Amino acid sequence: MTSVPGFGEEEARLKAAFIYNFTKYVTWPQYIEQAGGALHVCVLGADAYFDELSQLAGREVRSFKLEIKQLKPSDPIDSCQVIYTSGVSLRKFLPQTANLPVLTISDEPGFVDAGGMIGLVTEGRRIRFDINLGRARDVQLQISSRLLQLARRVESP
Amino acid sequence: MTSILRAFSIKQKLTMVMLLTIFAGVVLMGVFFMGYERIQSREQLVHEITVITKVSYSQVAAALEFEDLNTLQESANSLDFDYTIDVVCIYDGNLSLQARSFPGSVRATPCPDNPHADPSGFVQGKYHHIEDVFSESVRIGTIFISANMDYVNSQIQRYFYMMLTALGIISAVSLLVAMVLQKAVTTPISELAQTATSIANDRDFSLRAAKTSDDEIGQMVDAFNEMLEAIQQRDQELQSHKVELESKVEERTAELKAANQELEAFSYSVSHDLRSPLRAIDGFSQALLEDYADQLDSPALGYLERVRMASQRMGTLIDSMLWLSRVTRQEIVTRTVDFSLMCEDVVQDTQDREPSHKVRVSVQPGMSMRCDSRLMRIVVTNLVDNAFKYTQHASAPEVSIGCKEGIYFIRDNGAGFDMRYADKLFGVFQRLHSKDEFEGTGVGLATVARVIQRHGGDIWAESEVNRGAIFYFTVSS
Repeated sequence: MTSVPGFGEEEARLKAAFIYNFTKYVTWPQYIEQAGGALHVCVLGADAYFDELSQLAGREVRSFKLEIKQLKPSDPIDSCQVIYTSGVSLRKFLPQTANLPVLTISDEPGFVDAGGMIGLVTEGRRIRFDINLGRARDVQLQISSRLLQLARRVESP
Repeated sequence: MTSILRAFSIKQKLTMVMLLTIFAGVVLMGVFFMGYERIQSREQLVHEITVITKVSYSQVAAALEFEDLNTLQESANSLDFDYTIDVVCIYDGNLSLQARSFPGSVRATPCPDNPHADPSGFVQGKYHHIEDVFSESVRIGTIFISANMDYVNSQIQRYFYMMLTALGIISAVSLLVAMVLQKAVTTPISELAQTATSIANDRDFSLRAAKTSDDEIGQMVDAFNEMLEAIQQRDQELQSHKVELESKVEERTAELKAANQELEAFSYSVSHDLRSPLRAIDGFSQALLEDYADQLDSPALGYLERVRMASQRMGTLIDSMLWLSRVTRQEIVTRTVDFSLMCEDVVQDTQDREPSHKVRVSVQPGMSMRCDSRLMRIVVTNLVDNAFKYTQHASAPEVSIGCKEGIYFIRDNGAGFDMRYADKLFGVFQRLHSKDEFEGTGVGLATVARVIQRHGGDIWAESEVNRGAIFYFTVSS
C-alpha cells in the first residue's frame, strides 16, 4: 500500500493526527463556528485510513466535537466540514466542493495544484503538507499563519 | 567603647559620629539596593523568559502537532536569545526530546531527561523555566529553559562597585562638611572649656566665657557666667569678711596683750611692792622677839611667832607669784638636756631638804629632752616636791620618773586626788587639799602648766584618792 515498508500503520496514525490538528488551525465561516456541535470529518475513498480516523471521533476542537463519516462517491457533501479523500477522481470530486466551506485534504499527488486545499506529502518517515490558500479563502476558510509557516508550500492567488 | 572614646576630643567625636552615621547609612542603603536589585533582576529574568516563551508558545505548539522538527529547532534557537540562557529544550507529549537550542555550540548544556524533575524556579544558581504546551487541553509537549545568573550577578556586582565609589565620595565630601559644620558646635564648647581651664589654673574669677549661640551651649555659657558672677561676689564678700576679721583679731589681740601686760605688771609690782612691808613686819617681829623677849609673856611671844610664820608664808606666796610671772615672760632657750640627770639632781636636792622623809625614788636612765633647762627644772622641782609632799603619810613612799612613747610621767603612791576636780588642778590658787593637811601655795602646778604650755606641750594627771597620782606631760619636738 505504501512505498516505505512498515511505515503504513504509523503513517495512518500520523495522517489521522494531522487531520485532527488541521481542524485546530482552520476557522470555518462564522455561522458554523458559532453553531458548534458536531464537526463532520468525512472520509471519501480512503478506506484504509477510516479505522484510524474513526478513532478521532469525539475529540474536541474549540466548541466542536469531531464526528467521522464514511462517504460514498454519490453521497452529498454539504454536511461535511472536512473531507479526506484518497483514490477518487479529483476532477469529478473537487468541483463539488467549489462553493462549500469544506476543508479538503488528500494525499493524492498534485492535489493542491488540482484545486484541493491541503495536500499531504510523505517524505521518508515524515509527513509534510502543501496548502492552497486561495482555495480556502474562496470559501471563507481561514488558515492560521502558524499552519502556513509549517507548510512545505503555500499556493496563494 | 566609652574608654576608647574618652581619649578623643569632642571635635573628633563629632566628626567620627557624623562620618559613622553617614557610613552606616550609605552601607545600609547599598545593601538595601543590592538586595532590591537582586530581586528585581531575578524578576526581570523570570519575566523575560515567561514573555518569550509565551510568544513562541503557539509556534512550538503547531510545530509539535505537525512534528516539524526544523521549526522546533528554529523555535528553540529563537528562545535561546542571549548568553543568559544556557539551553532551551523542547520535548513532545511523551517527554522525549525533540529539539534543543544550538546543539553544536560550545556552551552546550545537556537537556535533562525529565524536564519536570524540578518545578520552575531558581535551582542551584540557575533559573529553570518549564512550560507545558497544551492543545485542546492535551499536553502535546514541554518547553524547558535553563538560564544562568551571570547577568543578575554582574548587575549586583556593578551595584557593589557603585556603592563603594559612592561610599568613598560621600565619605570624603561629608568629612569636609563635617569638619566645617562641627566647628559651629565645638568652637563654643572648646572656648568654654578653655575659659574654665584658665579659671581653674589662675583662680581668676573675673574671666567670662563668650556666648556665641543661643542653643544649649549658649545656656551653659550663661549659667557658667552666672556661676562665676556668684563665685566672684562670694569671694569678695569672703575677702572683706576676712579683712574685717583679721583687723578685729589684731585689735583684740592687741587689747588682750595690753591687758595681760597690765595684769602682769600689776601682779609683779604688787608682789614686789608687798615684799618690803612684809620684810618690815617679819623683821620687826623678830626684833621684838629677840630684844624684848624678857618683857613679854608667853602668849604675846606665841602671837609674835605666828605673825612671823604668817608673814614668811606670805613671802613664799609672793615669791611663787613672782616665779609665775617670770616664767610667763622669760624668753625660752631650748637645747638638748639630759633629763634623767636633771631629775636625779632635783630628787637629791629635795631629799637633802627633808632628810627625815624617806622616799624610794627611781629615775629612768638615759632620758633626754629638748627644752629650756632652767624652766624645765622648775617643772621637775614642783612635780617632785608634790610627790614628796603627798607621800608624807604613806607607809612606804615611792616615786618613779620615766618616759614612754614621748610622754613623760612622774608617779607617786601618795594621797592622790579626786578626779572630779582634775580640771582645777592647774589653776592659780586652786588647792585640792587643806593647808593643814599639806603645805602649799596653789601656784606650783599653775607654774608647771605655764612652762609646759610655753614648750608647746600638754600636761594632765590621773589619780584616785589614797592610791597615788600620775602626772603626764609632753613637750613639742
